[in-house]
Amino acid sequence: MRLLLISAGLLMIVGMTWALALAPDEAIQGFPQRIMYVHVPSVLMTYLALGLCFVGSALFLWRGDRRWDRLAHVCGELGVLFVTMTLATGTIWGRPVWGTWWTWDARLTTTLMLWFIYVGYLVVRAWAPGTRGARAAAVIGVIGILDLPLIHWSAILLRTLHPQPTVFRPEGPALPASMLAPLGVNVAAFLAIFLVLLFLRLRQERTLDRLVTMVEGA
Amino acid sequence: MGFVAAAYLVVVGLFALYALTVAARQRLIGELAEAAQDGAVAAEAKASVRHPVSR
Repeated sequence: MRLLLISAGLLMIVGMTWALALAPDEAIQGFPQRIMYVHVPSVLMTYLALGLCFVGSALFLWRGDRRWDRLAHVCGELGVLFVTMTLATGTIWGRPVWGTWWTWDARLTTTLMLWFIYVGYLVVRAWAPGTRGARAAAVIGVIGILDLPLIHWSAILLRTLHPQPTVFRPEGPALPASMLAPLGVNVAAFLAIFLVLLFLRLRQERTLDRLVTMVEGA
Repeated sequence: MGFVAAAYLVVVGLFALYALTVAARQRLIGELAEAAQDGAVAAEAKASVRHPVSR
């Protein structure tokens, strides 16, 4: 765990320095394009966290095992963190490039919907603790994932202001290596931070469950 | 320049904020564990008073 934490810190420092000081300026957007180096990793971690939340929720509903519920809960929490980051960095990028902080564009709107869905997921958990709340939240965790393909395809199928995908395309990445490399380092940094937070929170939830069992048994 | 700095600060700030909530939760769990342990000791002491022969 300590090694992962040190790696996360180092990767973050290297990634951010590379993105801010060494990567080349993009021809049309100029300096604000550097926001992409933290925006894209936030998006990817959102997909990962909410994908795991879906898996945990579905398996909890199927098997009723509390371990899957713990995974879903922690990933739901991390998903909200990363989708908040995605929305925040996106709006800050939109102001200098589009001339507006926000527009009701298909991709932006579906991403905001995602934020509301998973904040709702956490609210349900907080308001109805115990198995009933966990089951209700798991249903949201399973249904909420349907918004992810909507977000992904909204920029491809609909008329939208949002840039088309430049990294994950069937034809391969459209970015030059000088931009792809710092982006890769930042993705690795975000992944390392995601894993550190995931393991820490899972350990906490496990300890909390043991304590509850201990107190109830006393 | 300002927008880029703001975006990076938001990212670092959100990570820091979440790390603070994790640390706060850790402290709370520690306190709960101590309280639960005290409770267990107290329950044991009570049991030993109630059934002194069994000790």
